[in-house]
Amino acid sequence: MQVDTKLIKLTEFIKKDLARGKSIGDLTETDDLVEAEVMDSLGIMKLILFLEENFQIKISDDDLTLENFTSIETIYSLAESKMTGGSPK
Amino acid sequence: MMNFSLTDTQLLQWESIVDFSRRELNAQVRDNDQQGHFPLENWKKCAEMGLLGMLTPEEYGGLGEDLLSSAVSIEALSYGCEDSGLVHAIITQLCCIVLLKLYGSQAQKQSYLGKLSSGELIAAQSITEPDAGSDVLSMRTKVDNNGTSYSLSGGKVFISNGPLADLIIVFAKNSGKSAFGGDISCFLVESGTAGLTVGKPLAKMGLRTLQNSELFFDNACVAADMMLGKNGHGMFIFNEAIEWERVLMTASHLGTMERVLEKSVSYVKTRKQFGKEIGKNQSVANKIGTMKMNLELGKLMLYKMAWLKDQGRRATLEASVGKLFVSEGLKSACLDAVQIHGGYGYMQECDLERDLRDSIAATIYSGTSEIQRNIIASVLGL
Repeated sequence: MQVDTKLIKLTEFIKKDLARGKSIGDLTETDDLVEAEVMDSLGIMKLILFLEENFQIKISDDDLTLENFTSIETIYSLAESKMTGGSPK
Repeated sequence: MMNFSLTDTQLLQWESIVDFSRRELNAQVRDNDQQGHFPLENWKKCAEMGLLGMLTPEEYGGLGEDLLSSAVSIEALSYGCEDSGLVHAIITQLCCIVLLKLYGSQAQKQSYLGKLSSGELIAAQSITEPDAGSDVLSMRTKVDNNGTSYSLSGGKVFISNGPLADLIIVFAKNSGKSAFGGDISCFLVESGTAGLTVGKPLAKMGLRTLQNSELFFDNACVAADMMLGKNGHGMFIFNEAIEWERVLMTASHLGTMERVLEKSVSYVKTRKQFGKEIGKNQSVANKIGTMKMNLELGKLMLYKMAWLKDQGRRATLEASVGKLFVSEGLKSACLDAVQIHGGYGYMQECDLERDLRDSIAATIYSGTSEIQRNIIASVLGL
């Protein structure tokens, strides 16, 4: 079985960095991050910096939509699509 | 390979701006500071010199310079011009121009960029609220979509250029519910808009020639085509704006720091006590050494920050590191300069007490030093 290390790293970053200290239970890949109030303004900037650095991509204004940043799954889909030049699943 | 040299053009620009500033901008600074008077005539001179149009594309009447060259020019302005309030007002204008350049529609650019660059119009950014400083998402100014227009309600505080502004960039929240990016949008509001009230200029400890005020929005009606950037993208616009602002503010702090350093060096070489120049005393020389160290390290950081932005890259961490280091360095340099000058330094006619009062604000606006440290620590995963 192939383990996607980038997805693991992204999940860890969101759980251990962005969600830390916010009394949020164990997040799943499909949980709504906005509803769970995981990201404050600095958190969003950190997430964008994390994606650009770790996935070697550039997040543009057009990417900054609720659909792309709803959950770990959608964020990963956005990053993966930017890497391959496609559109998010 | 890295090249730490400025270009011949940048060096020429530095010299001509310093010469212009010393010749044209310093005559009434002390009086203007005491009276809290904004020198509109000097603003116009700066506009004629091209200082307001540095970052404006040539097609809109500007010089179309990159940020690095503009930062060097602001450094030169702040080195030559002793009115830090005026320099702050110019930087505020430049930041508004940058936002229009990056996010404005063709029509918005056409309407405002030329007039802002020529100084005909004055602009302000209004973000800060009584309960929302660096925590932008907690802002309460709200916007209602009326179909063909928007209505703004709420209040802003400490707005630089507020009392003079013809055009105000206003950040407001679309709804009360949680949304990605806080659902904040950005609007261009002209002075005289019904429902907009501009407060009186606020009395301040320093930067007294800069005019700051409160702004109140009571169902202020804004046409739909006055939204700046995309709906709900206000927080991202803010994040971009703050990086540009921190670069330009850092440039101005370094210019002041260099002026204060040179004044201090000159004084300690001529002032004699106990038969020798006071600069020969280690306790005085150490202060000068620290000023020079902060100046040189600050310049390296400034040029890196500006270069990153010119490459279209994010500079969140670098902008915080640079702004923190240089603003604290400036405050410390001004305090040391007053101390080195002794009783003379404490007198208004020496002008250093004004630089000290002005410098204190540098560690507060555009994110306090405490917030900068939080940002740095947070980016490091703390």
